[in-house]
Amino acid sequence: MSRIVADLGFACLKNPIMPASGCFGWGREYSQLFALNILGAVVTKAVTPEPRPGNPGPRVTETPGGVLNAIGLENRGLTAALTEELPWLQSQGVPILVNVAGRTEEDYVQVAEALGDQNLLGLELNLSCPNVREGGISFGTDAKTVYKLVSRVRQVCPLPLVVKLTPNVTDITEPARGAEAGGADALTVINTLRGMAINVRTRRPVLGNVTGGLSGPAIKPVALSMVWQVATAVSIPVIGCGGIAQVEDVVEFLLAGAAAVQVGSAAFADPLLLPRLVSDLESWLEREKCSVEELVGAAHS
Amino acid sequence: MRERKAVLLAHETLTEDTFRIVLHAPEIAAGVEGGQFVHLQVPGFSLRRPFTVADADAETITLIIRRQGRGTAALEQVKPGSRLAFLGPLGNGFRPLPGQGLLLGGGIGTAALILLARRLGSCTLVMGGRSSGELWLDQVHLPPSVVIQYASDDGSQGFAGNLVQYARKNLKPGMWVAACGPRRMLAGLQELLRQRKIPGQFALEERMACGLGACRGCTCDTVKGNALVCKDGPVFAAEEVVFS
Ligand SMILES: Cc1cc2nc3c(=O)[nH]c(=O)nc-3n(C[C@H](O)[C@H](O)[C@H](O)COP(=O)(O)OP(=O)(O)OC[C@H]3O[C@@H](n4cnc5c(N)ncnc54)[C@H](O)[C@@H]3O)c2cc1C
Ligand SMILES: Cc1cc2nc3c(=O)[nH]c(=O)nc-3n(C[C@H](O)[C@H](O)[C@H](O)COP(=O)(O)O)c2cc1C
Ligand code: FES
Repeated sequence: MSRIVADLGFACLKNPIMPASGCFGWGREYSQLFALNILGAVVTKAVTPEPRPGNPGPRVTETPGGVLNAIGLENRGLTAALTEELPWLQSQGVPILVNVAGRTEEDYVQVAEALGDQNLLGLELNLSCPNVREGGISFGTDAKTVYKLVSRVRQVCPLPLVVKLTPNVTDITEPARGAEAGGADALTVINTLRGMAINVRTRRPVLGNVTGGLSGPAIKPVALSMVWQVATAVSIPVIGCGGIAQVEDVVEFLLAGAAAVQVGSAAFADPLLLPRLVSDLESWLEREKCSVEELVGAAHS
Repeated sequence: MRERKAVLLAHETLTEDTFRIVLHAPEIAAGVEGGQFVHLQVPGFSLRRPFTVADADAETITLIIRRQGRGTAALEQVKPGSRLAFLGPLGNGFRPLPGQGLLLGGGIGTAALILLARRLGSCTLVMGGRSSGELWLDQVHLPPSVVIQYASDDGSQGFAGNLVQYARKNLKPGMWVAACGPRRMLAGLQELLRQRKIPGQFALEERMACGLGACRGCTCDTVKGNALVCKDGPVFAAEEVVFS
């Protein structure tokens, strides 16, 4: 087996590099720059049952070492995803994780059920979304809520389920265990950290939504420590995400216990970053005479 | 559209806060349209910065940049001979309409109209600003068939007043308008164009992350709903834009 293959338990990927949800659309735009099938997998923008217009602008800004965004899960809804986006992406010869979001448990169930018979690597449930039934607190903050949501989706959808955790919690191992108990096949750690920026000239928040999610190199140490914790707490594979910008970052996440990684914001500074990480990782493994498999979790021993 | 690296050939100061950089980019220089932009990497920053291709000749593209915050301040320090990475050309440029073009640039927005003026050959290009010290268009060489005019709020150069007032006075039937500038100016122009039944196109600005249409960071409101400034724009038909 090649050194760079990544084992997610429910599937093997040709390499552990994938884009993070929301930073890559459905891959169409980036396919003008490189062939998508050189990636381990593609993770799509969030899909909700109905189209969502998203938040008022400004929606993105830069903060030191990072990016703040409040897109508000703008997407064209389940029907457009099924009829227009997915068929195209499925023709690109790359495994697909469809990111799923919602306002209620039923939203997740509805999208997961509708996608259940598609040829996909799996679904990635984005649990950072505010739960309208529970006063807008995100689904991912309470272990019981996570357990219930994941087990309900599990019942209606035969596809592998990856649960993406929010870092905006006191102890991320609790929702991680809830997801595992609910039947998750893997976990993505982490989504963005809540943050904000204020324009001192106008004395108003920069983002139209006031607060947003912080991503990029600034959050890497936080993400890494959460991957470390979660990898110790559960026995399903972890996909590391947060601030990855160079091959050494990828290796750090593997060593912390991630079986694969996602790269979001850093690809804004360099749109060719993803293919470069694949080839840099190949060279790194060659030079160090080791494999991804040997690196995963190696820092724990 | 491709990712490229270009050598910075020249760097010149235009006003106290505005400078011009020339990049060696022969692959795109001849084909780029007025209103299209590049997404430029500023070394050390997490997001790229979008800039209109202000001008182009056979081998080079010119960006005219107003110092705004940290990214543009860092760009001002980049020395000739350095290489800068950019994606481009991106977005849709202006689509010349029949009739005499009236090109209205509010401040740095004028940068979006220079290449259009050059390609049109014959048109009127007006730069507006608060006072003469902000107006740098005299430092751009355009053919004599392009009529250059100025408008200043304090009357220190050219027409005394803003560009909406200028247009109210100078718009004639049979003209079409291309404009770029502050939203308030564009909103005022939109109203005027509607009253006079004159067609126009506006180049918009919005904060961007990917610059390609993937992240939905740069949406603006149009009569057809959300549109992406990077991919559907940055140039939109004047009547399509919803200013609120
Ligand atoms: C299509 C397009 C073409 C443009 N062409 C030009 C041009 O030719 N000349 C020029 O001087 N400026 C142009 N701008 C504006 C220019 O991109 C911003 O002034 C610049 O990004 C500010 O960066 P900063 O780090 O100095 O400012 P900061 O305020 O420190 O930037 C913080 C963040 O906000 C973003 N941002 C701030 N202001 C703007 C803005 N007006 N538009 C978009 N993003 C912004 C930055 O990119 C950065 O991500 C254009 C913008 C767009 C969208
Ligand atoms: C512009 C933008 C949009 C995002 N949209 C989504 C989304 O739709 N669903 C999701 O689960 N995460 C979304 N995220 C979070 C990323 O997938 C990722 O978890 C986060 O950005 C941390 O990784 P990074 O530091 O490599 O960017 C988004 C992030 C950004 C910057
Ligand atoms: S900047 Fe990403 S969609 Fe326009």
